[in-house]
Amino acid sequence: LKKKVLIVDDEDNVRRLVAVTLSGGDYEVLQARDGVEALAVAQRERPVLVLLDVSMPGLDGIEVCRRIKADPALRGTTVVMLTAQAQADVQRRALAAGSDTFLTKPFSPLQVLELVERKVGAGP
Amino acid sequence: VTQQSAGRVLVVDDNEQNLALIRAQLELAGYVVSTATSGGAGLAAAAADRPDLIVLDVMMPELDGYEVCQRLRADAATASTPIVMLTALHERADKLRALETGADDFLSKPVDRAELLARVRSLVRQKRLLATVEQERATLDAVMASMTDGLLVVDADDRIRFCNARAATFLHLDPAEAVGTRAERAFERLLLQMPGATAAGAAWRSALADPGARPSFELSLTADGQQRDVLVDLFPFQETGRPAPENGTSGQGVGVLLRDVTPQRDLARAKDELVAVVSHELRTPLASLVGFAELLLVREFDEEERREFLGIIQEEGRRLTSLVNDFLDLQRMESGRQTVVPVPIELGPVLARAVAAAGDDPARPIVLDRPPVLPLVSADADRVLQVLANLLSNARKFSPRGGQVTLAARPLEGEVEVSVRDRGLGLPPEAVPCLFEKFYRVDNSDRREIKGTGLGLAICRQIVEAHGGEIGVESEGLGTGARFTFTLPTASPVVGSGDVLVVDDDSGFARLLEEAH
Repeated sequence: LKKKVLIVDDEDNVRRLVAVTLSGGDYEVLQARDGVEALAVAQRERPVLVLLDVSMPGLDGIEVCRRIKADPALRGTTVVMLTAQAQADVQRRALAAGSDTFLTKPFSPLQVLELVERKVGAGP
Repeated sequence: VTQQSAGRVLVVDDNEQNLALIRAQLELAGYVVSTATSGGAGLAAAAADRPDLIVLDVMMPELDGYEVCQRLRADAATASTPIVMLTALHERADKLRALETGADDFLSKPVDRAELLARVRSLVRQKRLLATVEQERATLDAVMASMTDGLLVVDADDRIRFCNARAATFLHLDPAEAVGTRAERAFERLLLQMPGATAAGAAWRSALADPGARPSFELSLTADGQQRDVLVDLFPFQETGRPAPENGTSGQGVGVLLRDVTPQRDLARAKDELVAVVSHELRTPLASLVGFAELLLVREFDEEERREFLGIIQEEGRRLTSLVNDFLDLQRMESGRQTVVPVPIELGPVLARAVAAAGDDPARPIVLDRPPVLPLVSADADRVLQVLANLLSNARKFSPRGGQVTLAARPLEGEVEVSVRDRGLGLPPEAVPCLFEKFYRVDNSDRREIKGTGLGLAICRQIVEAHGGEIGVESEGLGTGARFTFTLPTASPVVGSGDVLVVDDDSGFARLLEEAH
């Protein structure tokens, strides 16, 4: 059974990049383009890891992260925040919302792959 | 040449002979003298003439000298006018009473000439010194009242000695009541109604403890119901006339300057925000660009995927290019380095060129609606074309289901109004006031797929305003389309002899002709 990884970003190309990066591995890549869709997919599919963009229209990534972390059904889901803002303030807010780690755009796809393998591999 | 008088003296005495004698002696010494022969007349003369000094006889019928003296002191206009009382010789009780009722000095009758002149000269000099000091103080008060900065002066005993109107507003003090009260208490009271009170209190106390270090800190204060950023600067001053510092007290007072730095802080905040937004806008396309390039370098892909990823790299590269171009364009205009060069032009050909440049789109045809004759406008054709290109491209972009776009022009008073009407997605009311701001995006799911730098309309506004025109938008709401309008001033209709009017839709050529001329 493949491990489910959810990529949430309003940028089509970024979602495609992550999907291609994780393809060929032991992952089923799910996609969502905004916060509302992300929560729906997460609750339905229970991914082991969510790559979550911070600034999205509507419900932003910080709030989505907070809700994932508050959902008992999603306990054990790792959240990796993706930010296009290098400001320490955003990273602080991401950590405060319960995010496990974060990556700054632009990021190296190989590093993303390595990070996902490390986070997911450790789990069941 | 009139010599400056030694001073103006009012002499009040019911004895005409005595009066004449004193008058003569004073006039000889250079004084301008007026006289009154009763207490009542003396009061009236004092109020009318404002003398530098009053010589007042004690023994007068009806209103005696003591009574007159008391009344003069009670009147603010004469309260500080020096008064010399004329008393009977050796009457000690009279002399004491004269001083008690407010007289500055006394002379015994018969009046000795030298003594009269010596006392009058001394008192007039004092009066003039006092007047100078009072005038200086009034000037200083006026200056401090007019200062945009607040100024609070606290003495070595922590008593408020001075507080100008601005400081009173910042510190929520009544300037009349505050003087003489403890500064610390006033500040504690202020802290109670302040956000971040603990930090502010600590800053205030450590600053007061060592004003010699010229401490400076910022407070967020409410003034006239508004939140203001206030820069507080403290400086010590040595109080004059204070005994040398002894146990505990430094003998130093503290001046507190309060400067409203809200505009500067707002600017800095706006700058930080802009940097954050620009960084975000640059990093987003870079993520795809760098990411796909790395994947292409380290992994094998089939030809179809390879082409897809290269296409994404190219697309995001172009997106970055237009972002940088737009941003620099806007910066140049905002800093005034890039200006428009308006010349009288015909608008018709410019509109036609804009429509042609927009190209064909059968689902979103552009219809030109203009009267056969339009007045000449004063405009930079290339820049107007840039605005039109932006508005027409937006009109089509935000009409995903197609629809006609109307480009219209009509003459108004002293200007021509150009409008671009679409039947597309329209605007929610809250978006209308912000639409021309940098990087503003309407946050609605119907337009998330529509890309742009977020700078186009900000550039349009800069260009139109540089022409002296106005840009605006109206929409009846989501789904109803939008109508963008901008105005351009008509060219001055009076053409003086020797002026050449250049009419050419190619503004480059028009400018060339103008320069040659």
